[in-house]
Amino acid sequence: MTLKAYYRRLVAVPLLLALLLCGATYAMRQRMFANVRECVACAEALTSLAPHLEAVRAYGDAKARLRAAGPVRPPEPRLGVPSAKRSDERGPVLDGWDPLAVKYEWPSLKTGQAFAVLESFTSAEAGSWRIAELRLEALPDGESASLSVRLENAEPAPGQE
Amino acid sequence: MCGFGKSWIGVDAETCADTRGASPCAATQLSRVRPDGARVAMALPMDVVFFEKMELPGMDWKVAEGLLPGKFDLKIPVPIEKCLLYTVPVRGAGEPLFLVFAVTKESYEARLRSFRAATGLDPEAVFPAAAALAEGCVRLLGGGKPNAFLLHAAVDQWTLVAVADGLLSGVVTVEAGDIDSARRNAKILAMRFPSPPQRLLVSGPGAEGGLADRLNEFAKALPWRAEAVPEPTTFLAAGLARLAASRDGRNGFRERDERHPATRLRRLRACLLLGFTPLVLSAAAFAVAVHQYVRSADRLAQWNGALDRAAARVANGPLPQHGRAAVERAKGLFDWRNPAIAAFAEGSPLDALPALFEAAAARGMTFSSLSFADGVLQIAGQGAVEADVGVLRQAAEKAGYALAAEISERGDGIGFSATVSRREGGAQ
Repeated sequence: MTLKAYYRRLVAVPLLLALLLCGATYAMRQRMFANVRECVACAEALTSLAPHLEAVRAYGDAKARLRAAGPVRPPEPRLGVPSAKRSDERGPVLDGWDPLAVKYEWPSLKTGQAFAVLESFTSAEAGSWRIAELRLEALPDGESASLSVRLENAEPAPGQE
Repeated sequence: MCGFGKSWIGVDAETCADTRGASPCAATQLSRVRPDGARVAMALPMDVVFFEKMELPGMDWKVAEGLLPGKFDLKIPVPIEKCLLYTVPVRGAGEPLFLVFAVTKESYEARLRSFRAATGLDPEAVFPAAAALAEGCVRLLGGGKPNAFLLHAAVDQWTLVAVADGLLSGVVTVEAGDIDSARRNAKILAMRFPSPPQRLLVSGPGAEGGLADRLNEFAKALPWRAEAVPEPTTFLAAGLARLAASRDGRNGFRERDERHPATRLRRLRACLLLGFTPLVLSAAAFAVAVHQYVRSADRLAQWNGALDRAAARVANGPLPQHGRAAVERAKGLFDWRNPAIAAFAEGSPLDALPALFEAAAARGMTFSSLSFADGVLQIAGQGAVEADVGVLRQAAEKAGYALAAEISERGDGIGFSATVSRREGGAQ
């Protein structure tokens, strides 16, 4: 090998390696950028899951509240209110929870009494019971109304959960 | 201590000089300053060097340079294989033009040996004396394309150099002190000039002591005037240094001979710098890229882990998918909640009733019916003007619910039927 050829190779070989490294660097950076884009997409995916996570959290809170409340008797209409037609329901146990319901119906009730009943069923007096259905219709006389209220609750099934 | 620094040094007999002509020490002391002979140039006397100015028209420069040895072989009395060649391409000429010097290897080795013995140095470059003298002559005359003679009066011989159009065009050596011979050869060389030269420069140790005046006295009939160069003693040495330092010089005859260790080291260093600097830089860039990639991969793994955990919470259990795929799968598995309990987790539009009642009372509105089922509250009633319904809507929105109403005209005001529901955007 002539000296000139030797010097040429001495320069060419590291230059070739440098070129290969440049190519590898480019590929590595492309993969890094792909990872960065994927991170951005992951952030967006997590943001899209926020409402679901909030619903799961609220579900957990509701479960804890119900468990803490324990078995609670259904709320009774306040004294002074005419007696109502009452029907109790008990649903099938699902996932260790026993759904309960009670329905009160008044065909005719003073309007003020009707609102008082509603207020008692929506206040703390009702405990963990919630209004699932409600129907309040003013009667033609202008002073009375018909009222139908269905209250729901759930409690841990005995021996389960 | 000699003050040459890293400059090239030309050595002529007992004189040495750098590119500026400075001579801080004698040639005999040079071995202490440059023991390895690096950046030291010596001159071969022209009585052992063949010279020719060769033009090869109609050819490519590279092809012409390749043909030079063969063509020069025809002009010298010894086989070209027994010689070392030193060629100087004259760039700027239209056609390929070269100054070609050749010396037999035997003479070259002999002169090199005697130089080493005299100075204790192995010179890094070896040039024909005429090349250095022509360089000095052109430089002294201001560059360009001068026409002149230069007579270098060394101790053992005189060298007459003809410079035509700024190029070395002829060389003759005569016995030292033979003015008549010098005059005759000058007349012959003058025929090579496109126009007669006007000056005859005199250099070398023999130039001191009035040689120029004696030439003028002797050659009165000749059209040129002899004059001594400034610093005649170091003229050749300085020319050698400048030739070696120039790009065209390279190392003269030693380019074809075994290269001087200093030359090899310098070129090796340059090659390593040229080759390995990009390699080091690209390796550094690669290392940075790898580091960034690893960090990005770690970050992505963290994100995927967070997504997996969130998806598992939403789906109420671990999923076989990972990352975004797990999120999409979890959204489809969101119906695992016990509906009896889920109803307690969601807000109810009945929570807005107190605000609606308050707003209705303030506006004098009346409700004729209220019904609530499946999370939707419906209200029907009467009001005075349409704005009353707007007040109801604002009260519902303030409580966090949406109110949509249909309004009908009545004789004594307006009737409305409104639906109050949860606002859009939450998970159902």
